[in-house]
Amino acid sequence: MDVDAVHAVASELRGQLAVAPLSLDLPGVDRARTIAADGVRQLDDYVLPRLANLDAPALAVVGGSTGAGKSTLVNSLLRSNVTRPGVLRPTTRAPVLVCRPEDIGWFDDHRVLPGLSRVSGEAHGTAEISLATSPALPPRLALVDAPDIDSVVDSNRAMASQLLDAADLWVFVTTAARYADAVPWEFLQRAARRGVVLGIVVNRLPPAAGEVVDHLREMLAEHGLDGTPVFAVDEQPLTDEWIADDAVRPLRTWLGALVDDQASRAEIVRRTLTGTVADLAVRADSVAAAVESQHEALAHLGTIAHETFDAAHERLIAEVGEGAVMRGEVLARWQDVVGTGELLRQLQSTIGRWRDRVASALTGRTTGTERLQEAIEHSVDVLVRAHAATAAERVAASWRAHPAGAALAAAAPEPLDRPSPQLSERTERLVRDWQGSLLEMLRVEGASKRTTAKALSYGVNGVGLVAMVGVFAQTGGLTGAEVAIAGGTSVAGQKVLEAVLGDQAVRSLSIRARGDLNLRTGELFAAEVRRYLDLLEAVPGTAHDAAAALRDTARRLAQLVRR
Amino acid sequence: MSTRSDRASARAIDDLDRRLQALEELVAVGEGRLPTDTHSRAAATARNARARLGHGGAHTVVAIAGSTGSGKSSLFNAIAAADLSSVGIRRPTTSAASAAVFGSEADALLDWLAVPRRHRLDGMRAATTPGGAELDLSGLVLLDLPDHDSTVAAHRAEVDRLVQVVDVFVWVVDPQKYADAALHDDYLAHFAGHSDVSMVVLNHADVLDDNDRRRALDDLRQLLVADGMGDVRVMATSASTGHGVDQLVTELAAQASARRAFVSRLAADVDWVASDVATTIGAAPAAEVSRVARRRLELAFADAAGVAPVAEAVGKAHRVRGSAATGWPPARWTVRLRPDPLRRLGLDRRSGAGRRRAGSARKSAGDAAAVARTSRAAPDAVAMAKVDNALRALVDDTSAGLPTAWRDGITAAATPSRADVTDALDRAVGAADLATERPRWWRAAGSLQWLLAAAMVVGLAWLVAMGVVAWFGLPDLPVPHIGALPLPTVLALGGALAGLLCAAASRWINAAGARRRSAAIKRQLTRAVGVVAEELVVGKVDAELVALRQLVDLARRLA
Repeated sequence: MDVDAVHAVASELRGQLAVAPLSLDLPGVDRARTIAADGVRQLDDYVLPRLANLDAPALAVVGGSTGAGKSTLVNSLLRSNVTRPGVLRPTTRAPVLVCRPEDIGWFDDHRVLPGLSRVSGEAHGTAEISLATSPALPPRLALVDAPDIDSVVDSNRAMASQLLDAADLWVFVTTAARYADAVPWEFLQRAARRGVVLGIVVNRLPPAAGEVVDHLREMLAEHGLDGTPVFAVDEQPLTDEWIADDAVRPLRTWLGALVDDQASRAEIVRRTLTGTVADLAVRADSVAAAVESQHEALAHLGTIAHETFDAAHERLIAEVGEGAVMRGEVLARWQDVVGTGELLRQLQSTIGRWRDRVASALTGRTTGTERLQEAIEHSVDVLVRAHAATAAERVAASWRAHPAGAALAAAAPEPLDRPSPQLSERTERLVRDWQGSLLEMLRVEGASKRTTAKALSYGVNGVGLVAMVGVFAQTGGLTGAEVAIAGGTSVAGQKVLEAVLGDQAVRSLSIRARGDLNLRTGELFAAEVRRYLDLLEAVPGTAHDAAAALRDTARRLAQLVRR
Repeated sequence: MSTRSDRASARAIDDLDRRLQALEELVAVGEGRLPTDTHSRAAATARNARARLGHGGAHTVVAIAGSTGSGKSSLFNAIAAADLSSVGIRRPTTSAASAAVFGSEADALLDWLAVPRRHRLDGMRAATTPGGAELDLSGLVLLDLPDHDSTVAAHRAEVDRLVQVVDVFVWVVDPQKYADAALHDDYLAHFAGHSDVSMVVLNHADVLDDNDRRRALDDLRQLLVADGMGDVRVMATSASTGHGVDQLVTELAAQASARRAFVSRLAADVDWVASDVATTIGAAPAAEVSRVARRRLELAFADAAGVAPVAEAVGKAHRVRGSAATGWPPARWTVRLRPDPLRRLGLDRRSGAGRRRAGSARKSAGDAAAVARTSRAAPDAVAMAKVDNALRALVDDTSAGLPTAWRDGITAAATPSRADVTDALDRAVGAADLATERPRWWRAAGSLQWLLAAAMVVGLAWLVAMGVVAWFGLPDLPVPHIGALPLPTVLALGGALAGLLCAAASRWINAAGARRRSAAIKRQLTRAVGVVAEELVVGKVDAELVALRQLVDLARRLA
């Protein structure tokens, strides 16, 4: 194993795991987040320091259930009271690290378990570890009395888990009443995955309970841990709060033999380290899979928004093209204008226009052309809003059916099943702007003299109105007259439409104006889609392709340790 | 004394029964309106509670629950004073629940609990300690549950099932395991509301000396306070030495004879559901769809139904037909050149049928199921878009401030299918009586017109005859004079003039009639469209609002 290379890749992995983008609430993401956080912690606490100092003393963590007698066992092993046992559960709330006096230099700085601050007396905080020395330890071995793994105190469980992840070897303590509990076996399975060197102590064994040890061995075999040494300690009265020396001697001998010479200690350290790194690579792979599904979910949600609004826009274009706007209210107003001859006056004489204006000023009534213009604006507005709202509803429904989408929709500042509040305002402006650009187009045409004299003689406003009607009346290839017939317009209306739209200039203008309208509604719908995309882009850490990088690092790491 | 306690427990049962009824209604109304998990929990609670109530208070079911190795089975045996459950070293020991029934049989209850392993014991239990009194345990059903924390997942499932239905919990812990998260977080904190039907027993107390036992019990009590179970009874027992067992048995005997534990347990269940429901329930919604929203929808529907053009066409038709009936006969032929406005809208078919149906037309669209579709064009896209917008505005207006799930329900109620809308609107218009009434004076005016026309023709013919006679130089015919004017001239000119005047007058009256008719039709159609809006949308939304308000009310009654 190329230690330097492994260290480099492991550092890289640490960086990637720490920023793994996992903020969408997909099913199983909690697990992935835990795996990533645990991985980062294990790399910091154990893998990186261990790779940097392969010859540091081996760290044996004594862990297990609350009330199993871990502290008593540690004290009995060392024949000195380095840690405080008790009847109140959980007893040990902060971990105690015991090493030989000459090894203290390895542990009092922050190389190992850098997140825990060192205290010499009793530790109290949740991020503290108390240091003690004992010459009774075998050389180059340190023992940690860890808090329990299963009490009501959450911080104990977290701390125990952190310590066990940082161990070179585990002494797992259980009892006759405990050995079949579900929680310890979760930890033992973790040990099996990691390939950590493991010894199990069954404490507080009642008399004639050899059956328990046999059953435990069976269970170990089922979990792929056969061959794990099991040390039975009988329930017994304590002398000086210690278990009889005979009872702990096999355990002490086993520990001593493991670290007895340089080679076997190095072997222990290497075995656990290799196993842990290989396991980390596997876990990083599962994080990568989770990151990938985050990317997929984001892409999926974005596609839904895009496709739904695109489809809505296409329907809108189709409806406008089929003459939808030219029916109903607009048609009625058109007939008013044509029927009363107002249009002809509008088209042909300025005096007529002035007369209408004076009349409307005097009577307080709007002219027919104004009402027609309003009807057109209103119809376009209604259509655009209905289509945008339908699309918003569909996107919201699809998002809410998606686990991550549901969370995003719930957290959105405004309801996603409705178009943006500014839509109405934007639609009005759209129609106004469009009309403005239509008139502008006419003016440019007039200036460049490309329009026929006849069209020009109508005046810009009159032709603008006709061109606008033409936009909504001319369906692809059909003339306005046919639409007018379909809409049931009067003969006079047909004639005027036909006559005016017969003008090539007006017809081409109408086509261009329709293209312009489609473009503008397209922009409007794009702004609506933007709302959804903004939500997706606000999801942190989604910009780069983290999954592939993570997978690659994990693969390189696995290759390095396999060698 | 006993009658007073009987009365108290009858009252408690009545009270529980009332709350259960509210809960059952809540479950019925809450389907789809409460979050799925809340609803299914409420439904399960209602079902269990009703079933348990049906089995009555003759038996009190006590579950001995706890971790593996805490000595549940040995405690069970000690309470029963008989060797019923096998006690073992190999963990986990008990894999299926078994029951000890004291006194009369409880087979129906145990069948419901699905506990097949049963032991019948005498109601009178001998004292464990010498000199102790015999205790009457009649009515007690003791259950020895499997563990909840071993590697065997099936055990936990069995425990989870039974803790939902038993009356009294005896949580057994031991000095090693009393602080386990698996017990406190998953069970005790969860059943915090059930503390008056719970006991926590520190078993294996013999392994601690008096001082340690006291400290351990204090510590345990503190953990229980943290679970929200501060007032639960805590005691220390030892199945092997018999310590504390008598006290436990006395407690259980008291529970069994009081026959009230099951009511307390069920009441606590209902409390729990009530608080769960309370967190998901929103403020009471409005009683009905607001007038503004309704009006807006009716306008959009009227637009989609084409009420205005139809009314206009009816008016026009009145004028056209009036002209045909009362116009100046020489000019009547021009009327036939104009298309009939109703026929152009595809409504002409109605002119005959409508008269027969006159009077029934204002009935709802349901009555008019037989009305065939008119041949009118379908509502245009803009009108339907307006309907969509009005429906959304109605949903927004009605569901402001309500939880999302409720808003979804209102949306569903306010989303009729497009085909239903166009069909119903078309029927509403089709069922209306659009036939032009033919006012009686039309006939008179028509006759008058013919008379005047006849006079004119006679006058003209006379004048022509006179002209012919004069042209041929024949002697003049005798011409009567009216005043200074000759009669034929009076007939011809007067007839024409009077006819034209009459036609003008009729035209004027017909125009007024057409306006009146048009307005009447507009009112009638608007009403019919309002009925459609009511049937397709407003009624459904109102019903949903009623259901939601009922839900809010039930949740309040439950609490």
